[in-house]
Amino acid sequence: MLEYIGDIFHHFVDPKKRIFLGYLGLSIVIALLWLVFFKKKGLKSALFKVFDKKILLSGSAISDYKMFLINRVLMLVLSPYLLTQLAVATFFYYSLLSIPLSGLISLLNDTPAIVVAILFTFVFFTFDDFTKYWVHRWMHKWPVLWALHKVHHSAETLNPITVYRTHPLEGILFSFRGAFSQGTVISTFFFIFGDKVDLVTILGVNFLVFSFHVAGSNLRHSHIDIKYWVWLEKILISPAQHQLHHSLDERHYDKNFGAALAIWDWIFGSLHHSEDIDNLILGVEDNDFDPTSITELYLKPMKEISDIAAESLSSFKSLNKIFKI
Amino acid sequence: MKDMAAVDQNKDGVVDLKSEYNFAHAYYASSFDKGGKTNYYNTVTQAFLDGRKIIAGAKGEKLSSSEKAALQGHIAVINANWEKVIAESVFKYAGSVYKDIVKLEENYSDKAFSTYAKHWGELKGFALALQTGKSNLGETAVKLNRLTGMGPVLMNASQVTGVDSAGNYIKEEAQSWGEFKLHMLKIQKLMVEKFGVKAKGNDMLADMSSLASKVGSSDSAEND
Ligand SMILES: [Zn+2]
Ligand SMILES: [Zn+2]
Repeated sequence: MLEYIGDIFHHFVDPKKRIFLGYLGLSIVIALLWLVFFKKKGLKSALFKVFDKKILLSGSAISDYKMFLINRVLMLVLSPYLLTQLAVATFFYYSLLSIPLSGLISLLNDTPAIVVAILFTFVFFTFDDFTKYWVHRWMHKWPVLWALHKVHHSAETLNPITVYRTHPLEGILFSFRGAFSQGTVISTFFFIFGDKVDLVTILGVNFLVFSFHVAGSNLRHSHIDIKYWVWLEKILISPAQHQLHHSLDERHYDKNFGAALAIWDWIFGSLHHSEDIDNLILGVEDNDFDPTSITELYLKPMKEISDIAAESLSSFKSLNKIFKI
Repeated sequence: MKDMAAVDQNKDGVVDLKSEYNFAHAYYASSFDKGGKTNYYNTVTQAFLDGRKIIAGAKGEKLSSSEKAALQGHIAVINANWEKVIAESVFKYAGSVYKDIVKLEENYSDKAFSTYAKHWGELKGFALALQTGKSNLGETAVKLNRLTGMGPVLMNASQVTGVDSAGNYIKEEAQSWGEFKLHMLKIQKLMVEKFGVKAKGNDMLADMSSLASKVGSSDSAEND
């Protein structure tokens, strides 16, 4: 039993995870520095702002915490059945070996191991981020997927735990995405460079992921609207840019899908720079959806999906009647 | 006893072949057990000792049905573990052949080639040994023989594919090196799936799986 409790809260002590206590601590420091030096607040009022009870103990936040607990238990049960990146990597590796490319490969034999490791680390991170962008974009575009992703967007206040405000079915989709993107990169690199492939790490974490978290990734889901310079917001998503992604204002719809990198939004035309809005209103436009009800958060998306399925089935049937297929 | 072919246990200056020498598969069994993931050597030896105790205990009389059943149990243990030891050897040498090909692809030397040929020979030998047990491996044997081939793929990508009526080997442009490497991986996979090998010497996908665990699992319900 104690072991299970340890597993549930393990993310707080795992540097691979965003809510690792070290990253959370650093995020608080960054938030205070921002408020004191850029927003010219006194330290005391900055502290009050960071630990604002109205944000951290709002009904929406409480439902985030509940979802964190429930989802952790669910994922612990489900994870042995999910596709792993190793399974994908093995599968791709087998298919790659049947391609006659040995000539090209031996050309690359002299690449120093450190260069291979750095290249792998960059490609791995960038490709993973790229697939996150597209999956997120689809989550907004396709009604069935939006029914799931809406759960995340129903948050009316943001705090670091809001990352876990995710419908479990969406979580499963995300794990497929991860297995696919990571498995293909791992196998391709192994095919080309053999056992020279390695990951550049700090505290056992991909150093780019580590940098992302150290730089305050937790503040994306917070009320501290840190903005970057305009040029930097085209490369990295600032906390304020992701908060804007959560905005209820129609002008902000379908903007800033990026996870860490903003370049995808920039290239594919969904970039929106941060704005000087003091109180961004967050959430989704949906009157019969209570963002604080756990049962609704888990069950409503299922109902919505089955409604969509039933609707398309009936329109398919009427098409059948018209065309007498 | 771990990974030792011969030990002069009673220190009489000679190795007694009846009590101080590990023959063939027993030697392999102990070498696999060194990794700590398996316990083939002791399991098999113990089953032999326990079985012998039952037979000796009968003092020349007929075995009772419960004694017979117990004896059959020990025989099954020996059978299963012996087979696994041979499958482990197939696994290990398929990995050796794979590594040898990688070396040959980088640059050719006569020495590297003879190592490659030797390892292929070991692989073939164990693959055949696996098929001489009492149970028919059926489809697994067919796959294993096809993947191993009748000879190693040579530098010009040709391979012995048969014997003609006059007894000469037929060599043909058979498969690419890449394909032959893939066959070695498939042999390793077959040994894991059909025989549940655990020691896995020369596991060619071990590096990939350790890297996969280094990057961390991809399963978590998080909205970045
Ligand atoms: Zn979204
Ligand atoms: Zn979000």
